[in-house]
Amino acid sequence: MRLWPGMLYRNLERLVSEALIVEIDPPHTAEPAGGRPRYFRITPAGRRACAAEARRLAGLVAVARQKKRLKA
Amino acid sequence: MNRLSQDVRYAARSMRRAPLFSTVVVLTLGLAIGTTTAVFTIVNAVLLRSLPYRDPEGLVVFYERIGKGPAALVFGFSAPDYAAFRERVSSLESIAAYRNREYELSGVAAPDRIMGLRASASLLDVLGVSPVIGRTFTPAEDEASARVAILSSRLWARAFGKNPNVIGRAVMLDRHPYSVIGVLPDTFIFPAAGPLHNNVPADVFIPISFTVAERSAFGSGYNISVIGRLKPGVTPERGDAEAHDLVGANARELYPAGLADLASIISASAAPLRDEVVGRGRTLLLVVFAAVALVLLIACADIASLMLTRSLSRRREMAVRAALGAGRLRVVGQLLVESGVFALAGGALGLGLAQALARVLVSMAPPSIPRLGDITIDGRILAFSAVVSLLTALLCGLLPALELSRPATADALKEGGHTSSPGRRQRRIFGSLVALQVAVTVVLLVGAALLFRSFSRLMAVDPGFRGDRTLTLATSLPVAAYPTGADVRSFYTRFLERLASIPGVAAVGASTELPLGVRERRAFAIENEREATREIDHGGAHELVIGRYFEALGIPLKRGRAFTPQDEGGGEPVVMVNEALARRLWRDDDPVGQRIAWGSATEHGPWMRVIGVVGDVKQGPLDTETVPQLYTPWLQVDNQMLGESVIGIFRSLRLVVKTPLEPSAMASAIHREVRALDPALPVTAVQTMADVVRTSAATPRFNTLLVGAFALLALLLAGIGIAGVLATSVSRRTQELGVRLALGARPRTLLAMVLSEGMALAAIGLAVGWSVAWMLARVMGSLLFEVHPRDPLAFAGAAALMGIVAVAASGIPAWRATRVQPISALRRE
Repeated sequence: MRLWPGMLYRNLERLVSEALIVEIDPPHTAEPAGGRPRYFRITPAGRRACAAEARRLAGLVAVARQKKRLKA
Repeated sequence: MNRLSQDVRYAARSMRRAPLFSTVVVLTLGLAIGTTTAVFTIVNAVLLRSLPYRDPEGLVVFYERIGKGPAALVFGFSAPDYAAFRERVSSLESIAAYRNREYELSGVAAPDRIMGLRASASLLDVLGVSPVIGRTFTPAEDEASARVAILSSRLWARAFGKNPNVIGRAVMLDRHPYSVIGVLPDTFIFPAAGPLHNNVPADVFIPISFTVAERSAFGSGYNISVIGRLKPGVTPERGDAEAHDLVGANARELYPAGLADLASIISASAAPLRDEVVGRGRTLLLVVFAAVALVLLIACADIASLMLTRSLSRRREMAVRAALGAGRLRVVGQLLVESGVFALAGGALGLGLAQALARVLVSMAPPSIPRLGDITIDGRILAFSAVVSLLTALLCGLLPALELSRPATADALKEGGHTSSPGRRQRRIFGSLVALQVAVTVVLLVGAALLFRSFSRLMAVDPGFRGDRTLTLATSLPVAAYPTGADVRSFYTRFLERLASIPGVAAVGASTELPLGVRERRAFAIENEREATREIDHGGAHELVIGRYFEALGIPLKRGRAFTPQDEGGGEPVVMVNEALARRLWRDDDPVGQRIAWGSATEHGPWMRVIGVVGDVKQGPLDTETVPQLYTPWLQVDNQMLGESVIGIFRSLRLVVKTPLEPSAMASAIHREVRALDPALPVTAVQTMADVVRTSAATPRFNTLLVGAFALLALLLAGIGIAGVLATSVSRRTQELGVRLALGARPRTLLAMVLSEGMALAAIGLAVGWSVAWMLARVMGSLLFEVHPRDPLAFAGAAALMGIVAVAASGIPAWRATRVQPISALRRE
């Protein structure tokens, strides 16, 4: 996946609408800055999705490694 | 008029004749009117005052929305979206864009970092404001990225001493000279706090000058604020509807094909500027104002009760007046003048108190309340204070005046005289009022006690570092003077060396963030991880440190070693972790020697070797859990990253200096060293680490003080209420008491009788108050730290305090009861 700015906003919105992350208020100690950063926190559903995706990717990697070994 | 001055003089004399009474009344009124006026000053500044722009009702702020429906994410505009919107919008007569940006200010006596605003040439036109000196930028200057600047009045005073010949002189921003072309009026503040973005008042205004990159950045950089003035007759709703449709249509037409799915969920919204600025703080303010107004009413009721007591003892005087020909109106009038004098005295006292109180409130207010920068006591405040005083006079004085001016009977002309029957009903009303007051006071006292205990617990939390005798400061290196990473590295290395050589410095270090403010979070992976810990969240806080950082902060080293110059000079990448991370991912095993990398198990950066474990330090406020944390050496970052200037995170460091000397003495020594290295570099955020801890608890402190102050005020008023009711009661029963004494009753019995009357009222109030506090306890749960909302100590303490005050308040009338002369009481028969 190529990361470019357009993707950030699109995916941010997607993650929020699927309740995988949620926007939160800036922490107390955040100094007021003009272009203030936005803070998002992962939800429990988001953690589960993340873990599932990590496992899926790890599985793919394992398969790929196996194939490489077989070929070699 | 003659009569009025006569009445006033008489009132002053009778005040002098009853000093305790007068003092209590004037002080109480002063307190009540003062707090009401103070809160009104803030309400006026935030809600009522008009914004410092021409016809502010026509100003609207625009936002872009990404996503469908009300849950869409709200952002600012991107530069290309703004350009398209500006070109095609029809409901606005003028439009401008702006964006906050921090600048380094130098070339002045004391270099500093200031907040500036990149703005369209049309901004001042939209706001309808003209510079008092000079002009605004031209569109040509905006296009050409000309280095021109308009100063705020404050900056003009600070940097140029209000010198009128300031046009054409240069001000250094980020080491580049900007030519001053104008100065703004005193009262002008922009942007105002309140809106979602770009809400920090600016001291310098620069042309927004979008770069080519910005102008073509479809789908990114949604951080520009847009403000417009509606055409006459156009409503904000129409502006909102047009923005919604137009921005979406523009996006679908102009965004590149690859961003079509993003374009399909883009829209916009608009809100009146006034709502954006004022809206957020409105509820809190109105609640506080209502509470204070209620306090004032209660104070009036209490004072009325006291005045009634006093008036009863003047029954004979009034009867004489009536007999001599004074009409009822005349008597009422005179009594109202008396209460008026009290109220005006209280009002004057209150006005003085209001000023001081308003200043205190502003200094402690949470940042969500806008427009507090310039609070003044203006005509409206004075008028408010006067009106409140007069109303108070009326409320306090009317009841006693009416009661007292009742047509005299022959009895009244004799000494004393019978009480009249309205007394009983009045007593019930006042009695219930006082019991209610006690109840409210108990609720407030319980709340205050809970908050106080919670706050004490909070401040007792060990933050993980030593805050005393430790100074911190921030610096940020501008790219114009430090273009490469090598320059950045060289400066900080030399700076730390120089600081360490100041006599009296025990240790110096620096970090990208300070304790209680570590926001950076990253995911990490562990080499050869055990199965058992694979499911745990691998996220941690990250700080880059340099020098003797841990030593300067008194953070203990628990295992292994800290970074040395050898590590920092290159060689194997190393990392230190905190105990929380070690516990979570290695349980009881030693993490030293293991390896960690940024990223995930399947895709990560270079391995870093764990060389040490340090004690836990809070990354957020004291009531948050410590998260796993990693520290890496700042000096191990390669020069290209150090020199990066788009975001420039490595250019800004927080220095920590441990010293047994006085912080102020050390601060001047530090400034000297900075000036020696770079006279134009500002040093900001100079404070002790103890201050940092204190500031982190600002909101709980404010809550505690606010509720505590209200509780104490309520306690005072409840006490006065009890005293008033009992005093009235004793006054009415003078005869009865005299008879009892004559028949052989001991003074102690009378004392007990009156005291028990007062304690009965207090007991009823206490019972009601306790029940209400019990039920409301759960609501407070989220505000409390390590204190149960139904903490018995708080409930008991509140009751005890109320009890003491009730006894004291009942004491004076009870004592007076024992001093009744039986002879004179009997003589009245």
